Amino acid sequence: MANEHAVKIVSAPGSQDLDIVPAPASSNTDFNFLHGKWKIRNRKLKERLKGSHEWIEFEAEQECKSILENNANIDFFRTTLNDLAFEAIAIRLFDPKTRLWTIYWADSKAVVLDVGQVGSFDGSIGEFFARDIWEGMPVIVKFHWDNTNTDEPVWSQAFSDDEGKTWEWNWYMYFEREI
Amino acid sequence: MVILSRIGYCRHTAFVHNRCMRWGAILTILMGALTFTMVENAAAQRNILTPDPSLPIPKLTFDANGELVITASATSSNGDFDFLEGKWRMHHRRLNKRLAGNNDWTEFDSTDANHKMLAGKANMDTLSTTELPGQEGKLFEGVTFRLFDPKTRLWRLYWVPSNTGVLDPPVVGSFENGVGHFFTKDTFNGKPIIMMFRWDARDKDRPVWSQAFSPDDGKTWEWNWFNVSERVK
Repeated sequence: MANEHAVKIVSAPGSQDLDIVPAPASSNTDFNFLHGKWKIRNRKLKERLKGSHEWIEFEAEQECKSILENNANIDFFRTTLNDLAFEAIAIRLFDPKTRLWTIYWADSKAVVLDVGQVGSFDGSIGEFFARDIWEGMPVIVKFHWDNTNTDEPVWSQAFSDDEGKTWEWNWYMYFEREI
Repeated sequence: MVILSRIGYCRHTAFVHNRCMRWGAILTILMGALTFTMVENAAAQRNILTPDPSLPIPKLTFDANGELVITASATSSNGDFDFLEGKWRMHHRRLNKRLAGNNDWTEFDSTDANHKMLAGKANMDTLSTTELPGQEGKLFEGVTFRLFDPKTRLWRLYWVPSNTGVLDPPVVGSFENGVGHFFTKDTFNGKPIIMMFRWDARDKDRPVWSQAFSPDDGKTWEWNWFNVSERVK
């Protein structure tokens, strides 16, 4: 299913932190492909970590802008969920010291920045990880970017409740560039 | 302009010499008044860029684990930063050295542009300047993200200068009577401090932001940065 080669999760002994190593070519230009306006087809699992196989589909729009002298970018995601306007932002910062990206996500419902997802791109595949809590349960969250086709990149998200042994994919976004 | 042309005219007319003297005197007085006004304005701006003694700093409380306990004011709302939307010119006054008993300040200018996001419950702005001390004229950009948590009714303010790569913990707080105070625990030169942002938006067309550090859990504060924003029409 997913390409697992890009970033390895290595938990340091006795540590709760994820030890994430950047891919050799990781750079602050790795998200440049995402700048601009997009239409997104979303496919989202109805319930997470419950063995659900029911998927919800909806459309969204997104615009991504370079900020902070292209060491970062922000995107604005807009859709309608249950007849209500729903907006989200993703803030992506590149740390030139560690050469790792950290991705923060917030939406208009909670208006809180999630724990940053940390990782890098290896070629056209980017993987980003963070420990988080889902419905009271500790999980590892993975963001997966595939920009093999830079005009139709795909983002997906998976949760693991067993320290990364198994993953449940719960959201796919199929991007299409707006011309 | 009228006065200057009349003076020019007098120079060639001995007949109106006395009148000319009178105009000269008037001009001197006017110039003096103008200079005085300019000095006054500069002084007023400098006064804005100093701590306002009429504004108390809220007392800090800590829980059993030593974490800051911050609760929202009764009026705190997601509209509290609406005044900041748009484009601004900022004048800064920044302490050269922090927590070092230093009293040398550097003044510089920047621009700032603020946009709302997340259905109006958050906003971001970008500060740009080529005058930041120590940057040798290089462009410096900093972004602030401000998110209003509807559950706690507290604002979280994240400041990100270009080249940091990660978000520092936000300062957290709310507005009361047009003045907002926002706090977080941080470290400076390896020592634990409390960082405070203050937004004085009593004059919504000339809001003042300031920052102070406390090395002693809020007992004493050192102000180290002020700026006043003026709207670009």
